Amino acid sequence: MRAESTKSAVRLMLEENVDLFIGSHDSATREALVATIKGKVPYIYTPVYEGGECAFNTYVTADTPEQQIRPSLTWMMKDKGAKSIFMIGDDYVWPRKCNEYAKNLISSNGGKVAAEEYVPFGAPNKFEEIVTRIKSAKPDAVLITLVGADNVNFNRTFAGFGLDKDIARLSLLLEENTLHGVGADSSKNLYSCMSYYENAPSAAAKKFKADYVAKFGDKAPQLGRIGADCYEGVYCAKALVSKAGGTDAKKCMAASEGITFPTASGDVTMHGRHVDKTMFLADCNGTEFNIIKTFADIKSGDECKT
Amino acid sequence: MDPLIVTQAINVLYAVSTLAVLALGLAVIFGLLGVLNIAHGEFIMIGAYCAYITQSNGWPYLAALPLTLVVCGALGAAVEWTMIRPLYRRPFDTLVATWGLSLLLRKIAEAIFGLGFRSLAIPVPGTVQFLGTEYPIYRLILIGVSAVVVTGLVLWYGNSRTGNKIRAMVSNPELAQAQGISVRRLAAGTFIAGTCLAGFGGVMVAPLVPVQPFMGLDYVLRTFFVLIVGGLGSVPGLLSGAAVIGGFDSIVSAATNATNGYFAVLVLSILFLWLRPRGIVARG
Repeated sequence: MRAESTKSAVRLMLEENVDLFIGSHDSATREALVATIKGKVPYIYTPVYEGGECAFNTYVTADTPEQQIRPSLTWMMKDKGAKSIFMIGDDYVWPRKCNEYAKNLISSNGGKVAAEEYVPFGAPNKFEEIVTRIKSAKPDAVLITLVGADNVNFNRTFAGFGLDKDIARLSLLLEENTLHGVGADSSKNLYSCMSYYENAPSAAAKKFKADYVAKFGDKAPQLGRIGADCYEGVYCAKALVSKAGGTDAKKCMAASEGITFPTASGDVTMHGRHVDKTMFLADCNGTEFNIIKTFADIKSGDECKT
Repeated sequence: MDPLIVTQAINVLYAVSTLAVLALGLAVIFGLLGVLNIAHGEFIMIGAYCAYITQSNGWPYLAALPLTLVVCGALGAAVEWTMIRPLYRRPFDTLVATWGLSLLLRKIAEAIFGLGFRSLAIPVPGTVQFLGTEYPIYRLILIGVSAVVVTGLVLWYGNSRTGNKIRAMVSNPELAQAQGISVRRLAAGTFIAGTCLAGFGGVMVAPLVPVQPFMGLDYVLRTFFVLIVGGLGSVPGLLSGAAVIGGFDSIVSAATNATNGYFAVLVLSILFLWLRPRGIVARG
């Protein structure tokens, strides 16, 4: 995926002279693209990530660990009483950095890390052996930084072995499509925390959904964070370029501070080339998300120079 | 005995037996016909989608089997007639042809079902106390079913008239044809059996994995490794290959972590390709 993305980026810049990139993909691809684009055109990165991206002419509307992990994991440890946490993720930058962040948070809340495991990213992974280890370690909760099919597979295997009865799971990239894959019989005691869900309780989110269905009908693709992030990416680009009066790199960098633009769940403002957000903690109810807590205006925790 | 070790041991058994059944279709086609069917994974995918359709319509899960038989059988027949028949005994040409077929099948599945994950409810949910530990019932059923299928196929192949004819065809097609055995029909039947076995594997694993158009790719590599390591054209070869690949992966994953397990499988396959390319049970 990385090689194809960088090749596409080069072709788009050189042959089609694109003015700007908006990217919704994994962090490994983002790192490759940052190295390829080299700040020649603005690059807006939108889904969820591990924080710390301050490359020149790069703007991030993605959820950060400060926004995703701090509220949800603190809730898990304080309100649900989870003390020992088992961490499982795909082996690349996002899970590793998120787990580093989580480890600090866990120890400052008096908890401990039961284990930290990674599976090869992009390999056809099976999870029976790992689930058996979790069963034997008996943690209070599992922090999941798996993505895509691995996330589905792990959760189904986990519930298949009956571990969902006693052990809570918090997944950092669990949106509507993945939840459909996980299925109703494997989604008990499973939590997710992101800045947008189809059922998000904000007035803006409800309006967004109504407008979406009115425009595209009910056969339109499933709404979720991955997808809605492209919407905010486009509006971010518009706000950026309008204020900067063009796509000149230095002007965009300076203009990015303080721009306000709409997202699927409400308006946000950019500071330090990142975005503060309202986060939602969701419980899985069958194949739907049930928002149980709202954390308003969480700072991104990243301040990049403009 | 420590329940952790017992559970991991059952995991190993589960890994080996499912791998054996999933590789069976490929072993039949590659071992007996010399055809490299890279679209093997896609027939597994088709079986999984047949199971999905069965469940969406509210039919009992076993109804997926005749559905898969019909779909994979018909598709296998069509593929054999158009693509494979001119290319018997030409493994690399069949590899290219079936590679194109696999691209086509994936895109057709995407056009019909979309790229999103489908999940199937497990037909027999829950866990059961087994050897002192709780283990998912459905996986235990699969271990049993795999054993029955492989054993049944072996016995049938060794003792039936059709099995005899196939062995004649495999060792000397011209002589078999001269003996009155319809080699063309037998070869087609063998190919169709291979695709149906792949579909059957798909029905088995569908409730346990995310069902999506590209899922076949996850199985192609492992099942080819099983044949490389075990050796082509024999059931002991298939079983030893499944035991080594599935066993090594599961044992190393259980003892250390998943990355080492995958790494071990790759290293093992490279070593076999290099030092013993005919596999463990090299056919004479």
